[in-house]
Amino acid sequence: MEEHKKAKSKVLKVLTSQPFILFVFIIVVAVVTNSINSKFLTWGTINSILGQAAGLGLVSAGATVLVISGHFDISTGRMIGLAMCAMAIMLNSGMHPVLVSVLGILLCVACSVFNGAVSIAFQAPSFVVTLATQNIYYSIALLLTNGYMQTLYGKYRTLSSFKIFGVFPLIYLILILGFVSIHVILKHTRTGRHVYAIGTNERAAFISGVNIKLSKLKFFVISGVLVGIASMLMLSRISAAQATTGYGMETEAIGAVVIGGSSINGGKGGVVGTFMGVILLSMMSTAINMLHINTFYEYMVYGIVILLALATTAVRSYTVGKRNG
Amino acid sequence: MAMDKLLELKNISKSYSGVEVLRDITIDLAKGEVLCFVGENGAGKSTLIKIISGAVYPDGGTIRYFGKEYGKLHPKNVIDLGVATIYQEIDLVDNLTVAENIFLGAELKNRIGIIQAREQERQADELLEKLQLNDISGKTLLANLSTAQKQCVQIVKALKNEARVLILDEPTASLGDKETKVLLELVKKLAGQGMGIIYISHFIDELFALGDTLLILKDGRQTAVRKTEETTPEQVIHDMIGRDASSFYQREYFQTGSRMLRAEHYANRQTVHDVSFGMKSGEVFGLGGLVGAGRTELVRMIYGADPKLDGKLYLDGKEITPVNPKDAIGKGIFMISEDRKGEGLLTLRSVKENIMITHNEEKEWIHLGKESRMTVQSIENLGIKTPGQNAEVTSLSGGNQQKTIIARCVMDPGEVYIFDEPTKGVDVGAKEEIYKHILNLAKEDKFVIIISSDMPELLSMSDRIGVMCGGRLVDIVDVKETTEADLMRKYLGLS
Repeated sequence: MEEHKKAKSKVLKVLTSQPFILFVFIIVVAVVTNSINSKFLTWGTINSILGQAAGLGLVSAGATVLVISGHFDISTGRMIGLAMCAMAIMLNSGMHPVLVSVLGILLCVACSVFNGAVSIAFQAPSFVVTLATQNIYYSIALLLTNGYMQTLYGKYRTLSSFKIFGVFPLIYLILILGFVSIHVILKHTRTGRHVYAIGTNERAAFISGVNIKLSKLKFFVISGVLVGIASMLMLSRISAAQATTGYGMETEAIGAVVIGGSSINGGKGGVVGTFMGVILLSMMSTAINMLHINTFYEYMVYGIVILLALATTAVRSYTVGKRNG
Repeated sequence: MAMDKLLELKNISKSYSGVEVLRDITIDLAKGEVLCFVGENGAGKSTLIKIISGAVYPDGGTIRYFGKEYGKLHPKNVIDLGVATIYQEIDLVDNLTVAENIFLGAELKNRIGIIQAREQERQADELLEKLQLNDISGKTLLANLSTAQKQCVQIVKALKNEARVLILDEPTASLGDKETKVLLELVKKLAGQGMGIIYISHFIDELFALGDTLLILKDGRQTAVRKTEETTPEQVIHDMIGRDASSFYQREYFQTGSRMLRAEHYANRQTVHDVSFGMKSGEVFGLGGLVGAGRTELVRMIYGADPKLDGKLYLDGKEITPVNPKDAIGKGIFMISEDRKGEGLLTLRSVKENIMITHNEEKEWIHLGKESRMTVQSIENLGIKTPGQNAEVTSLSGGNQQKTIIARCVMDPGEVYIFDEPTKGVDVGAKEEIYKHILNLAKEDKFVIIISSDMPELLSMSDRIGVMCGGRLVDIVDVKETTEADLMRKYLGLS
């Protein structure tokens, strides 16, 4: 009897969780769109949506770690621009793609760690620090490229075109691996526990023996690695780069995290919700296109979806609070 | 005659979630009178002030302000009536001038709404002059003033609002001797001009120098109202303490061990000066003193949580001074902070994560099944009442929250355990359980340091008590050879 009750409450918990609500919402949007334009639920469309989602997805997975720990990095968009330009230049100069990829990731990790280190050293919110550093990264990208677009002329395509066993795109595997590893880090490791602990009460974490500064740097390293991989994927897909590439992605990523139900104040959330948020955002623009809605509405929809997500979070915390108290 | 009564409190009572903090307080304040509230930490002085200033509404009783009874008053209404409260923390803006601070919120403006800085300064100077505060000018930036001068500016601000009653909550707590004198002079002068003063201080000599009447509080009740001319410090201390045996916990005493812990020359810049003490394993070493005596600051330094100027910790002659909490835990030193919400609990997280955070520091990979089993075991060992290990920790009662933090600290073997106000905000039932857990540690031959502002608790838990006063460890007394009165005298610095 007791077991039965427990199982029931567990099922209820899953059914009312943000990721599940989002999952239902995604299905509804897809089915509705498809009933109006039957081209929506075809492999071609789904492939294009997921292909777009890959870059944003990895950046959002990293942003999830930062947001739960109480941080924001709004320089990731500029970081992507910088990394893609640098990688494109290196590729065009004949460097080996593998070496270029590694250097690209290292560049993003360096930028991200710099953000974290400055925020720790100045005891300044990372939001403000990255507000400053994003300009620096943008400027470096402009200086590197002289403001010109870097075209790859078909180099570095393998990453985005390779299919495992000829069917499953490599890019999806990378996206899935990115999310799975962040999920494992958050749920199964000490570093993950630090993300939540620092996000909810930094001083208590400190008193409990957590090395706060080191942990925070780790979070920025994680985000940096993911931003680096995202830059690789995007460069391979677009096959060109310029300093402005990636700009705007940082806010979209934080949007996806919020839609996914992670608390903007830190301490709560998870990467499953973020994944749903990314899918929702990515399919939204395609859906708007296919429904022949004026594309000027796209950003309005994007804004409304974030507000809706905040509303469901608010309603949930209100009802949970009432149940407990 | 009736007009002379500025305040009349009758049968004031107040409870917080069932715990009585004030009961049947009846006192008057006359024109020109200095009334002092005296009592231990937690006797109810602050609550009483909050009630008078309108910040808290009493459960029972009435207050008449200037001969008139009002309904529920907001703090703003009380200020408008002419009752100004000056809290210990300075409530002024550092980067405004003295004049701007005095007129803050009620600026003098001309017809088109421009602030008349010159006129404000003139009036401020006039007020300052009236109180013979000649060394302060309206033009000075507040940040350039000393703490005592800032206190004076707060008083001036209150006067500008035509206060007839002035409430001062430990105004001299952070002042030096000379500064204190300046402030006391000012207060006397104001009383001489007919203002009613309510004054709170831990310094008993101040009360006798300044006060006309003493209202002595103990555990939320008034034990006596005395005229300073007709009483002695001894009498007042007697009124402040003395409880029946039921408020003492009967602890079990055991043989202390042979190992030694020594803290040597602990000092920081301001609040702790050259503190050294030694203790044996199996001993419960209490730290007593009034709020602001430097006890919390001391143990935080020992734990490595705060920077220090000097200080070393030795276990059996071997140095183990921690450099930070992580290091302390590695060396088997644990601290349970007095600030449970701010420094103890991971408020949004589960009971499990709260218990396991320190243990989880050992390895990067967390074995979830093992973690869950350890949590269940720990919840059972400590007797934590929770709907489950995944319940949010803030949904538990204060006592169970505290047990959760204790569980965190006893998960792995350690040596030194520091409890800072372990039963603050804990209900009576859970208190005894927490005492048992603390004593178990002593029984296992560990070192236990306990800070408590609850005198019966400190006396019944400790083997010896180190008395702190003004940042120094002034005495170490054996509990068997001391009394409440004795201890209180030492707290107050009357040897």
